[in-house]
Amino acid sequence: MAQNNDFLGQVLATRGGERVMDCYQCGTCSGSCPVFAEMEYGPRQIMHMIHLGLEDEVLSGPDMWYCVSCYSCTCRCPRGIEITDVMAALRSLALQKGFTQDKEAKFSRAFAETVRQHGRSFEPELLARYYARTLDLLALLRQIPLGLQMLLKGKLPLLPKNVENTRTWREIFTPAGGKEKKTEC
Amino acid sequence: MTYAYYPGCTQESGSKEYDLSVRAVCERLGIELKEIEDWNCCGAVHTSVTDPLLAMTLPARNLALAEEQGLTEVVAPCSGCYKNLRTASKAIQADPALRQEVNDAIPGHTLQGDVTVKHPLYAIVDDYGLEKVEAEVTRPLKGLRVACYYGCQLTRPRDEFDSPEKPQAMDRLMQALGADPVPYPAKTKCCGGAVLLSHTHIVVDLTGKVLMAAQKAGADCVALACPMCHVALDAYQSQIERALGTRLDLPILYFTQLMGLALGVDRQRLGLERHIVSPAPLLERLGF
Repeated sequence: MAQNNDFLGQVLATRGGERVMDCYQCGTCSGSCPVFAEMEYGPRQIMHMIHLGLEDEVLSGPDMWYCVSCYSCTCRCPRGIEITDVMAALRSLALQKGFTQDKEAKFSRAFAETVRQHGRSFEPELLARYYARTLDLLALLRQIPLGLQMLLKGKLPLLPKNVENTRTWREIFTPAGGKEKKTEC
Repeated sequence: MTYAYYPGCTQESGSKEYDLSVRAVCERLGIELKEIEDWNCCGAVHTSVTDPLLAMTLPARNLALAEEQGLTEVVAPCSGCYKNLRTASKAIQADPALRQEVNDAIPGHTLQGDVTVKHPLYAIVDDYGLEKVEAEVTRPLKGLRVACYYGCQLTRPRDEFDSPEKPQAMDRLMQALGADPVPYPAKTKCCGGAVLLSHTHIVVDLTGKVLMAAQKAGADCVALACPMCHVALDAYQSQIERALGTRLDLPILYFTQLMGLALGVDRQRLGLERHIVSPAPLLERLGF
């Protein structure tokens, strides 16, 4: 089936996505999901849509960006499907295919860029990168009172703490990493 | 007992009080923590969205660094870091081809053997032992009603340490400290922390349900073991109060801060003044 269905094949090839065909649509996942009410389809329907190869409908939708990675569905799935990891794989596929509009997609990229830069998270830069991507000035303004409170409590750092060698570190973000590249040189 | 210690990014900023209290409590109990030198971010749930292999390589670099320091057991106090490190450790142990792929992608380091990962809650409860903790208590937390909050990634995905549906370790620890853990139905419900900034209304909704359940059960405070949960329950509590139109005023404490109090650790070393919802009136009532 995978050969005739590109999207299903792509999901089956991801870590955690190997067993999506085992789903028998019982709905335990959607019944366990704390954000089901926010979603357009919910995990059970998403599983079915993967089976049917409805790539654009799944990847353009908001559901996987609402997933809070709580693993309730994964722990309860009677078929042992790693549903939370499937949701993560869908986020990754969505980003690859240019579905980047959800605010959580923007946050994920801002987070990855900050970690690539320093090796560790650095909240002021993360916030700057995130709000530069979303241009959500209202949300930014709403954060200011809490931001000030956290600053006063010493909960927002003023300087980043980097890994020792950031240039070598960043190679971990390139496909195939540093070592292979070195042997090529 | 010696562990490699992986602090995680928030332990240097937002949850410094967790870092301080973990170190102080372990020192008090004679558990040695050796910080992993040059550790990096575990990736949280966000980084691997840009490249799925990062969910393995970012944690694995930390495991490799621990191994280089001659340590084979890591403790990670943030539930999110703990979940990422533990998942990567297990996946790599089970799959030699993945180990090769991961090692090829980590510049300058190689993970050769098996490095296991534990949360400090289970290192203390299982490895050190509850009876020994109880014997060290000098100031029992008598009359303190605690809602133990496990959240998600401390017990999920399923593992051998505790039940993902009805976890007990923190409740038993609080009992050993002399406190009264209260039963309430939200101890494994998610706070929504993974989408804190992008979909804040979800955090307000989910965390609101947790706090309301704890309050209804008569809790004086919530004890927890994760910096992301702490931000949601503590820093966002006033937003939640506004949304729900009710007053909560529930202090949110790390389990290690409560341990420190009961074990007679110097209060200055527990960072109790760093919370947004002040625990000062509660501590005063308890005689601390």
